[in-house]
Amino acid sequence: MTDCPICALAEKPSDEVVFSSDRMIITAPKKGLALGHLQLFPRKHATILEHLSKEELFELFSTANLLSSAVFQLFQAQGTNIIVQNGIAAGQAIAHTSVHILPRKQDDGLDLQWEMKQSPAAELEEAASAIKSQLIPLDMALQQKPEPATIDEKRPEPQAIAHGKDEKTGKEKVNYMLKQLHRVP
Amino acid sequence: MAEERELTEEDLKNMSPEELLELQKKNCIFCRIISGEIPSTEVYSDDELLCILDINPAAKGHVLVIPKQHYQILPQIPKEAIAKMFAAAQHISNAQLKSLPIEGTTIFVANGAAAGQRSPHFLFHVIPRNRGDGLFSQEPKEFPEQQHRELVRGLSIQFGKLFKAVPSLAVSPPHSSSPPAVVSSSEPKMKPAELAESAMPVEPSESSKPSESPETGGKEVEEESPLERDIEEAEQEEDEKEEMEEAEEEIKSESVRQPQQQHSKPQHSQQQQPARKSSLTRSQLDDIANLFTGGRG
Repeated sequence: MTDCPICALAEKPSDEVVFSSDRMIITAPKKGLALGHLQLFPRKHATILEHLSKEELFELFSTANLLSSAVFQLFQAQGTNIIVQNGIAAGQAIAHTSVHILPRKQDDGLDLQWEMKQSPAAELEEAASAIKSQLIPLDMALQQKPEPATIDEKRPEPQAIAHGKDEKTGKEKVNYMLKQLHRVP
Repeated sequence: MAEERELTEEDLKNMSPEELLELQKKNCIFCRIISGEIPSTEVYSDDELLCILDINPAAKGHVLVIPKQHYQILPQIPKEAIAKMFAAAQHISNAQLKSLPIEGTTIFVANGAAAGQRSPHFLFHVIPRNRGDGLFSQEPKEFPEQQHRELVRGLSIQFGKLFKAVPSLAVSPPHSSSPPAVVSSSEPKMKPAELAESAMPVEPSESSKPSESPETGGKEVEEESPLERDIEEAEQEEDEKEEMEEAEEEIKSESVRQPQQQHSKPQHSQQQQPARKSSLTRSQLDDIANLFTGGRG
């Protein structure tokens, strides 16, 4: 792990670190989205989230949750974000998994919102099937770590299971209702 | 709660928090999705949570992880549910990576309308990502050096106090360049937090599971970690500013000495097990909820 700047912090300290222990490292990045933007790393090296055991994962998110309450109070925020950028494509800059904690205010000028796309029922079904095909039952899964995907792997063509397209037209009506409801602020 | 007539603003003001919550549930789209009243495209469901596709996705395969119980924000949610939700998120992210033509995923949690929370029912997003997809493209900005230095120093103190009492989180010095003499009262722009209450550390045996055994946080999460107890304790004692200031003095002088000594020896006073509740005060939770709910469904 000597290439990892986080694992190497003992030898190469950084003036961004605000707390460190044998479980966790918390930094305040010099470049952040707002004052109070924190980044939380598990001490144990893992490149992406999928490489963490479920205990490590729980500890990471519990701590992130606590830190969000902390920054909420410390920076008199009106809300908080907890964000994981998992993989370079998601903006992960350091090859050591981390969680971002961000205090937010109404007028902070930040916009993390995305454009909400229209998605026909068929597409939703297709995506659901694809995901489910790779998702083992969670109670089994909770006994073990997921067989982690490696993000730089060449992605095989997704096996879109396009059964029963006709059934799907029946669903459109229903989804339209949902869409209506979702427009309610 | 009889509702023969339409509820007025007055009525809403006079309702107890419990009644308001009931009302909210009735009008809550996600509670209705969870009950099956409103259909959805599900990828996973169990006793505690429901994972469905977002019908207005940021990208194909965008999943929502939703606790079945109606909570408003993450700090309100018990640890067992948190453990499950994020375990599910990890598996879903993994499944997305394996099944979709994507190169990354983003997990996005918003607590409060100011953070972009759009639903009164807590949920978070697991979003498939690709380079150049335009999502989360807000550029971070560089903080002025002085401000950043003060920030780091102030936060080190706060978190030092916070974690000080927990021997299993043996504190190592953040960085060697910390200025030895802490400049008097120039505690930067932040309020000294109510968090700073760790004058009463936890008994070491409660936190005795050191780094090797990950059982502490995991499995069926029976007990809170001492850290969390500590924080809840601190937050409950907002009014005890004096003690806090005292502790600050103590810490300031400590950090001048040797940071290593901070992994403190077993202390005297025993913590009682605080009531397990949200780490935010009632009024803070209400503020967040109010900011968001506007018309109450």
